[in-house]
Amino acid sequence: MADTRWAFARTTAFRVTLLHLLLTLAGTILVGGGAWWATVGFGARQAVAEIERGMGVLLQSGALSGPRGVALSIEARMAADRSGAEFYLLAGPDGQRIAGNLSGVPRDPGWREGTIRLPQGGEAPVLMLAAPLPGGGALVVGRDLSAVRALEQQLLSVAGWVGAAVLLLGLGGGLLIGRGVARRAAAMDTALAAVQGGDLARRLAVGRGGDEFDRLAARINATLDRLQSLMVALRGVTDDIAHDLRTPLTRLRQRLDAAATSPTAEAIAAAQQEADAMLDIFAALLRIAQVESGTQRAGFTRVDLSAIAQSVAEVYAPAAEERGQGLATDIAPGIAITGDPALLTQMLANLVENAVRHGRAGGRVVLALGAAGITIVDDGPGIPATERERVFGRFQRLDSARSTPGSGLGLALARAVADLHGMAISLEDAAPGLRVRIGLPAG
Amino acid sequence: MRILVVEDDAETAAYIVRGLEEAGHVVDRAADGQDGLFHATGGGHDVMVVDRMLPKLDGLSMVRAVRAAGIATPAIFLTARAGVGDRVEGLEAGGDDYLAKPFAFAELLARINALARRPPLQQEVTLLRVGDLEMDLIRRSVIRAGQRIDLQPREFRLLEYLMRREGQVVTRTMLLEGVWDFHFDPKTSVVETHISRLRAKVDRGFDRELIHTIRGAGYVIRADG
Repeated sequence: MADTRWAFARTTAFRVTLLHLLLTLAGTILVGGGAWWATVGFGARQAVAEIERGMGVLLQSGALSGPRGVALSIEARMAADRSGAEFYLLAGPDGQRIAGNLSGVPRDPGWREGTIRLPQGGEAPVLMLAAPLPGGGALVVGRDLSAVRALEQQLLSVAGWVGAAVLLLGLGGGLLIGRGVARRAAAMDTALAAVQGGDLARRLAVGRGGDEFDRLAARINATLDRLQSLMVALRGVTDDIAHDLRTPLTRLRQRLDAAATSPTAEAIAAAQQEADAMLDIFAALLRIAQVESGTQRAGFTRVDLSAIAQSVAEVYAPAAEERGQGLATDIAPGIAITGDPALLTQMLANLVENAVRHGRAGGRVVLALGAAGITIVDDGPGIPATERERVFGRFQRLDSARSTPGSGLGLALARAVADLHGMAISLEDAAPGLRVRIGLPAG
Repeated sequence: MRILVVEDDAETAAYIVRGLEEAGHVVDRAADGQDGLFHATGGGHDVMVVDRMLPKLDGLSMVRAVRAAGIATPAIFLTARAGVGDRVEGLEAGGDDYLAKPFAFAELLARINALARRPPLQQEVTLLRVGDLEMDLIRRSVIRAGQRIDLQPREFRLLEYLMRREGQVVTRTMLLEGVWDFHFDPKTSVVETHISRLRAKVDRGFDRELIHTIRGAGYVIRADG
């Protein structure tokens, strides 16, 4: 944008208009040339052919019966020519006219074009062929080219008008189209500049035409939606960290204070434990953020969900048994989806872990997988209906669960992983207990 | 062992170097990727520990360059990013193991030991033996002191993982990754319960215990004490 005088020349609209105009002109010139060849060219060629034929016949009669025969032939031809478009001259060796309606013998034989005065008055352009006669003297045959020249004039003037019209239409149309394109591009530019300036909610106008601009605008809007949701998610993470890490940090601080006054191994170990717990929380938060960003989708493969469910159940079965719980499975074999195996494993592990932890000691946890999806059912206290959406948030724990270990991030991660895979996750009352239901992704 | 540590953060590097030297290893340290590449191509190391985020030449590129030079020294990546995709990237670049920061030193040491002792692609073993415990990998059977022990498939894999690393400390995370393919840390003590069940089958009723707990580190299977 350094030189605004040439800004228009750099626009795509201008370049397209120019190119289009040049091509249209070239096409017009080709058409005009063709018309020229077919009309003016045809007239001239015809004149040449007639002159050559006339000359041939006259020379033949000259060879048969001498100059006298030629003169007779000329007289006969002139008498037969009603249009007055044929011109002849037979000159003797002395240059005197013997017969014909032309005056003045050309010096050299061959073709020439000239203007002659007509006997009835006026002038006419004439094409002439002169040939020497065997016994001296010369023969000239000519044709009136007025009609051809008039046609030529007309064609030239028509070409001029048509050319001007094409130029005008092309330029005007090009400018009109270019203006439209430039206007829409400028509108997009303005909207995007507003987004860049911080107005993340601003969107491009999408017309109903469904042309490439509308599709581009729709695509850009979808990208902006994604960006905005990422920004909101990021803000959410920062807020969560600010609010919820203060408590464990304070606790760490207190433990370190205690260790400073009496540095026993237990006091230091307690502080270490607190630090480890916080690092775990950070790792979980980062992982949730990473999953929510959606970048992992690039590494999706075909995953045997049945095998993963089986494996998770096997991992947790002994832990459940230690609590006197039965971990039952009802897993249909061979259910495969497209996804990230490590994340799906962690999602199922988190949910089974929750079920085992919150289920009734001596009770029963069921992990089922079928065509309808995944269900994990426990027989614990369940979650009140009003809380079922809230517990998917980061650090959201039921008051009754605050005394048990856990960061309040397990369900948040499960929801993030389910969302990433396009699976719907919901909580239901299993009366008694909780049922987690996860739909399989479509397709 | 001679170990190359490529880490730009001086404090972390000092922590690792001190720990490794206390464990009786000889340590070379490089503070950036170029220096690390220079040391690594000099050869003579048994294991290299490479941070992923390094000045001048990042860890991935460094290990790629080392591999391109035809040097097969086992490499462990250290990283502050513990994403699933990052792990795969590290392994694809020619790394042999991957450890997320922060880590317990015992974890790093166990993994270094595991890498260094990995047999260089010998022919497949079919029989593992620790003391009077025998595992037939073809018939999938386990016998101790002539007595047949019935194991579930997962228990078999767990025992196999331990027996293949006889005398080496194996950490909880190594077991989670190697046996169950869990690349995260479950809050429930699943590894402990699996180990205690395995012990109940393998060690209970025999005069000597083979599976030992190393406090603060992990587990080891060995015949002598």
